[in-house]
Amino acid sequence: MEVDKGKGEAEETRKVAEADRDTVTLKSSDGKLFEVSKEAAARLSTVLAGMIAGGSIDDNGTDLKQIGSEALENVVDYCNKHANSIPSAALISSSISFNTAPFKEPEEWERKFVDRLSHDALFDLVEAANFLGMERLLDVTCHKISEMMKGKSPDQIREVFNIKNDYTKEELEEIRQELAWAFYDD
Amino acid sequence: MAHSGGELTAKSAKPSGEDRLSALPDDVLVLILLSLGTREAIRTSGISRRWRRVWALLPELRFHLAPGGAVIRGILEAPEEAAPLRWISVTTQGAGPESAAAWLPVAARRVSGELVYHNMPPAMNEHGDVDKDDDEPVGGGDLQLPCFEKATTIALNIDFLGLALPPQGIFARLTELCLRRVRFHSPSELGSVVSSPRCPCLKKLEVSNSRGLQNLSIHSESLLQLKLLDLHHLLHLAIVTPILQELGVGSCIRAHGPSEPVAIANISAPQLAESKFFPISMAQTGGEIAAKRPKPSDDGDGGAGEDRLSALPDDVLILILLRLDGVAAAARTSILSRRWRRVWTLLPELRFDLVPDDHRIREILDAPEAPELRSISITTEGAGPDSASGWLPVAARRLIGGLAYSNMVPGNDDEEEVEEGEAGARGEVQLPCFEKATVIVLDLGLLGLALPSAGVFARITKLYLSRVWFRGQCDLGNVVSSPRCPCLQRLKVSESRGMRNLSIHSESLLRIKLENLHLLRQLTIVAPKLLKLCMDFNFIDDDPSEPVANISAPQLLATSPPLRLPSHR
Repeated sequence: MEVDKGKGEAEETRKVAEADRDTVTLKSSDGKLFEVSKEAAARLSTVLAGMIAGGSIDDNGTDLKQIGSEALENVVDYCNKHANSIPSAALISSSISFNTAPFKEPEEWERKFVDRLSHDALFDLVEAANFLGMERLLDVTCHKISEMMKGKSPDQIREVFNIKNDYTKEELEEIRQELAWAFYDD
Repeated sequence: MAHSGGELTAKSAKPSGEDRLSALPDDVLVLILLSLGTREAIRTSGISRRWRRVWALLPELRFHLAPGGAVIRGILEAPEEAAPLRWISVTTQGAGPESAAAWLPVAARRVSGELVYHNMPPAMNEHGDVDKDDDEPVGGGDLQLPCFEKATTIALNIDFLGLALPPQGIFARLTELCLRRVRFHSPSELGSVVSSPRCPCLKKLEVSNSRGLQNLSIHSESLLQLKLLDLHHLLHLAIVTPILQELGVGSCIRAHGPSEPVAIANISAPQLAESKFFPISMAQTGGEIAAKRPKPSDDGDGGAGEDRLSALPDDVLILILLRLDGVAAAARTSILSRRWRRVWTLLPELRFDLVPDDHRIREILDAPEAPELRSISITTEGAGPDSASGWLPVAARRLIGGLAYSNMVPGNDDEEEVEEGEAGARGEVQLPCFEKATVIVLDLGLLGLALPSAGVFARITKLYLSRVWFRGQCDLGNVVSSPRCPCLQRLKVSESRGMRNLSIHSESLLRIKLENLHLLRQLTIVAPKLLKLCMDFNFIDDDPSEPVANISAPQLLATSPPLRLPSHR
């Protein structure tokens, strides 16, 4: 992770030097500054696209008070990696023939990108992606979380995610009956 | 030592020093030469004067990767009194048009039977594939096909050499014509050559894997079998063949781009009689059969004991639930905590794979707080028509996106096993009108399907029907035509039965694919925007006295490489 960070920053600095106006500066809740390509930011985030289009980008660092520096670094890192990756056919999964919602499987590098995150970093990133309207990053992070839920019993899920069971015994029984079809093979 | 055995063999071969062989009559010698093969037979001319011209009486000649065109021409011209040729077969490799051009005119004079010319591709290229690409003209001019007035069969497979058909002359005795890997060059009109005036006896015609054929208009009183496969650039297809018994079409018609002028497909086969179901290829059927097994374990590292997941907003949680395996898995999360009690009911996409209890589908779809659904995907196994008829009306109310329903047939995928009586006894699935849905994909495992007789599928763009047994009063053509499906762009019907007539008049359709439609006897398509038409089925007639095929597609547009049959991919 440290290596990635260094590399990402070096790349960023070079880019800044080459084409000053092609980047935007983002400021995390704890005051750290990050540069990201304007093109990638606009393409990957609906919120940043709106800000760029609306001219509400601050050259001295656009405040993103909801996002901590670690999450913002991941966001910027993701944007850079995405800009450099070659889109593959896997982006448009073939299995479903509806054009309404093609199910986008994460690409290999995206899997690796989220796999290396700690539990908290993952959730920080989900929240950041949600806040910034980054549909693709949200897909990738949610996919990771669903992978963590798959094949687990409710008890196991509660354990992995620290979910507090606030049901009464009676309520639980009621739900199991109501949704018997969903629990038939438990 | 040698003499006892040696004497015996010598005796039988050469009893008296007399030349019994040369004494045989010509027709017997010809029989002997036939078994030698053409090359060796010709060499016998060097034996003696007696043999000088015997080979010239050969009724069959076969040149395999042999001499150049001029040599073949010489051989064909050699006989002073040329015997009619029953059969001539020439194989070359990577030859240009001049090779066959040298001998074809002579062959045309002499062949009274079969002509087979196969020009194999030159040695394989690095891809192991020598298929030439579209639009890549082959130099060296065209192969001029002379008129074969006496030949009965012509088969040409010429590795995409240009072929110029004779502008006049009658192929008076031709019954079979097979053209493969041909590049037709205008102004030659295949249709005018193979139609009755110029091919009055033609019974079988195959044209496949060929280029440059833009128009094909066949009017034949004699044609019984017609096979058209992979014809690039076909714009216009018209077939009027009153006694056609078998029709196989596997071709694709597609425009190069939206800038092309408007295309019209007009296909009709009003009088095809009872046709037989011949699966050329088993189309892949929809339905996700293999339920994905989740990874055994993928534990998070727990964090600081905080429940970050439940803190996420509903719309993010839904993104996560959508990625679980089906609705049941999503519904099970309701047991996690109160926070999760109703999250799953907000799912905009529902997928049920082999849910044992079909009635539940209806209840879930009917949930009062449920939003509009983007997608419904349901797989059942061996379900009867009542199952789908139960939930389809609810689905029709809520769905604004796509519906995929696949009913697998337990034990086998072979719809041939299903008898009409059996399917009939089970009733049919009543399809309601989906006013808001954009995509409908049904694979009914040959359950009966009754289409709604009223209502507009106002937003539907794709309709794929597979393994459907059409029943009921309303026919498919009525439903998919513009008044009731004004936005329909793609229509695919495959492996289905019970549809005798299909008449489509659509202002919006861009693509139509019809595969293996049992009993289809009349087909009319009027679709001014149609870009691509793919048909893959055979009509085979049991009763040759009746059938008439009449297919015409007068204004179909530029085509590009064909869709391969599914089995090729």
